Formats: sequence, C-alpha cells, structure tokens
Amino acid sequence: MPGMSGTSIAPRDAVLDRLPALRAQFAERRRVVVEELLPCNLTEQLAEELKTLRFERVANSGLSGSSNAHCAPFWYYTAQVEADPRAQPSPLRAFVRSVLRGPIHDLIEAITGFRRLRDRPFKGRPTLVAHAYPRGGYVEAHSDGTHDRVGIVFHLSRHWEEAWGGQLRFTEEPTETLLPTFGAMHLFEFGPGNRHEVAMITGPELRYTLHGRLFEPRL
Amino acid sequence: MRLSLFRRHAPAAADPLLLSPDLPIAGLRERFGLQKRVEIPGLLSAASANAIAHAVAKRRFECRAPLPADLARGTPSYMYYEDSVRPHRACRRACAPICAMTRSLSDGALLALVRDVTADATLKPTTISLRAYVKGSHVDSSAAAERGVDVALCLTPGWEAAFGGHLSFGDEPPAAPHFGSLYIVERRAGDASTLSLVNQHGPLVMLGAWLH
Repeated sequence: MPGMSGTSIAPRDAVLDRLPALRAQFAERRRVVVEELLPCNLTEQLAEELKTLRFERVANSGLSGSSNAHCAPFWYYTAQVEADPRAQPSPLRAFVRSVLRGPIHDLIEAITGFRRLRDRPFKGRPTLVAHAYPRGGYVEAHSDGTHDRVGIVFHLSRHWEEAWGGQLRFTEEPTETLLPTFGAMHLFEFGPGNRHEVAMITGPELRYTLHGRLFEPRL
Repeated sequence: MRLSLFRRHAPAAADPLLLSPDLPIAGLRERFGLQKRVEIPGLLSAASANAIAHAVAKRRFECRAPLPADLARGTPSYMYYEDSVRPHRACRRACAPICAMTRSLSDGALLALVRDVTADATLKPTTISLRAYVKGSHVDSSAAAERGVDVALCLTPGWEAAFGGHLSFGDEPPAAPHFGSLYIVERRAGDASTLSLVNQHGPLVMLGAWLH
C-alpha cells in the first residue's frame, strides 16, 4: 500500500519535497497546513474507518451539571482511537502510531524544529482522538494548556463546502481562517498567539477530524 | 379573570403563580379553529416568569442528540437538553414554581385554557418536559407520530430573533419564540416541526407538552 511500510504510515514524497517551505512557514507564523499528507486512497480508508468508531457526546454547555467554567464552551462527538500495538492492525491505528512515534511524528519534528515531542496520554487515553462535529457543533476560542507544545488536526471530511461552517479560525494576529480540507494536516504551536476556535457547523455533513497534541518534556 | 396555576396542593410558602388576566378566550378559540395553531402572548405575569426562570437555572438537563451512526442512517439532526418533569406534591423546594406550572398543565388552569382554546375537553398530556436550547441546539425535523396537540411555553426573557431558535410548524415560516408566549398547535400524523440553530448560549428554555 503506498505510504505504508509494514505497519507504519509515511507522508507522501511530495510532502517531503516541500519540507523547507513548510519549515519556513511554521517558523514565521507558528502554524502551517500540510496539504495531501497521505496518498488519497489511504486517506479514504482512514475516513471510512473513522466512521466505525464508537463516538460519544461531549459538551460544555453552561447548563447546571454540564458546565466547566475553566474551559471554552464546546459541543461535538469524540471517540478514542485504540493505539494498543496488540490490537488488530488497521490503517487508523497505524496512522496514530505514525503520528505519535513514527514517520509522521518525525515530519512534525522536522517542520516545527521541536526535537523531543512526545505523546502524553491523558487519564490513560491516547492523545490522538477522533472528533465528529455535527450540525451545531463548535468550539469557542481557546489557547489550550501550556504543557503541550504542538496541536495536530487531520481532516477527514470529503467535499466540505465553505457555507457549512467548521472553519478552524486563529483569532490572534496574524488571524487566519482555514477551511476543512480532506487529507490536510494543520500543525500549530500552543500558546496565546495561536488562540483558535472551530466555527459552528451549519451544513448537513459531519466534520470528521483526528485531533492530537504533542508535548516537549523539559530537560 | 385571574387564573391561579394551583388547583390543589398549593405550597403555602411559595408565591402563587399567576396567568395574566384578560385572556380573550373566544377570539383565541376562533383563531385556533381556523388556523389549527395559535400563539397566546404574555401568558405569564412578570413575577411568575421570574420565579420560573430562577428555578430553571438549578435544573439538571440531559443532552439529547443522535450519534454519528444514527445520522448516517438518516435520522434527522437535533440537539437540545431535556428534563422530564414529574411535579412533587405540595412542593416547597427550589423547583416549586416548575412543579406548579407542570401540575397546572397536567390537570390545572393551564390544561383548562388549552382545552378551552382547542374546544376539545378530552385532551390529556402524555408527556411534559422542560427543554433547554443552548448554543448549537436545533431540531431539523420532528414528525408527529399521531394526531395531537403540541403545547410550548417560552420561559426565557429577552430572547432576540438574532439568537436563532426560531420555531416552525408545518409549512409555516419560522418565527422567533417570545417570552411568556404559549404556543398551541394541532398536528396530524407526519406533520413536522423544526427549531432553527441557536447561536447564543442562552439557554432558551421552553416547557413543552404533547396532548391527545
């Protein structure tokens, strides 16, 4: 399978050819979009497998009993991606392993210049999870925790239309609005300079992403 | 005429909840007979509305939304918070205004008003619930399974049209709910109702019931 060697998933060669430009863009803006990260057929397989996950509702609605004043309000579905190496091999699990400690992880380090990026499981959960934003789903502006270093958003919704909302918006200068693009990976450094939000979905389709974060331990 | 929402078990310590006086029942009945739907504005007195709003803020609601697999199978999209209300007898707790309102809709003045307007003395509520519509809430299409009457009472002061949450029954154009308005709508099997996307936190709270 193109892009996979053994159980590992690697970026397309064309992405590696663009590495100097991607590195320069990240150095300047502290965020970058890697278009067409993987071969198209592999991205399609990931998108299909993502839909089979067991999603659950998560919300911070402001209502009594479902509110956390320390978090930005949000509403979407989330699902864990099983990253246990003993689990049945699949493209999605291979992708997660590649992001956490494989060729895509190496690409992220090469683009960002951070050399010690690590997975930091939270409460036993992997730090790469699937999100599905339904009609009405959103996340208000936030800048994430100070412990993590890099945010990763990999888009898996085909043929997304601009009128459907769901844009990833960076609200601080230089402001930027990024449309969900099938197969694109967004990388951004955590911190107040990259405060961001997901615009409310107004269209009929679900906005599927794999979302993760890597941290850099102190020496 | 000033109707008390309490028919029985009125808590002595709580202020009585009152419907606004001077409801033009004959005119409302005529309009409902023609259009099969009617909005009765300003149903609640200001004091009653404030008491209910205070009680609603302490309720615990459950999120209702289909999972992605359900949406893929064609389930219409919806999201709201709901609390099925079972009124306490002689309630003296924080929920007393809601219990009083629910009892009134179960077998009190509010039910009598709905029966008067619909000219159907046999109507009985089968479900009564509080719904909270937060940012992102909506109901794309909710079809009635059988013939009956939908009743909804808007309990949120200051809700503006720009906040979303517009109600629509059948082919009627969507309209923003008004605080204190009671909506009575006759629905046949298959008739759809919708609530447009809410884009403010609100919540927009409505007491709803299905009667048949």
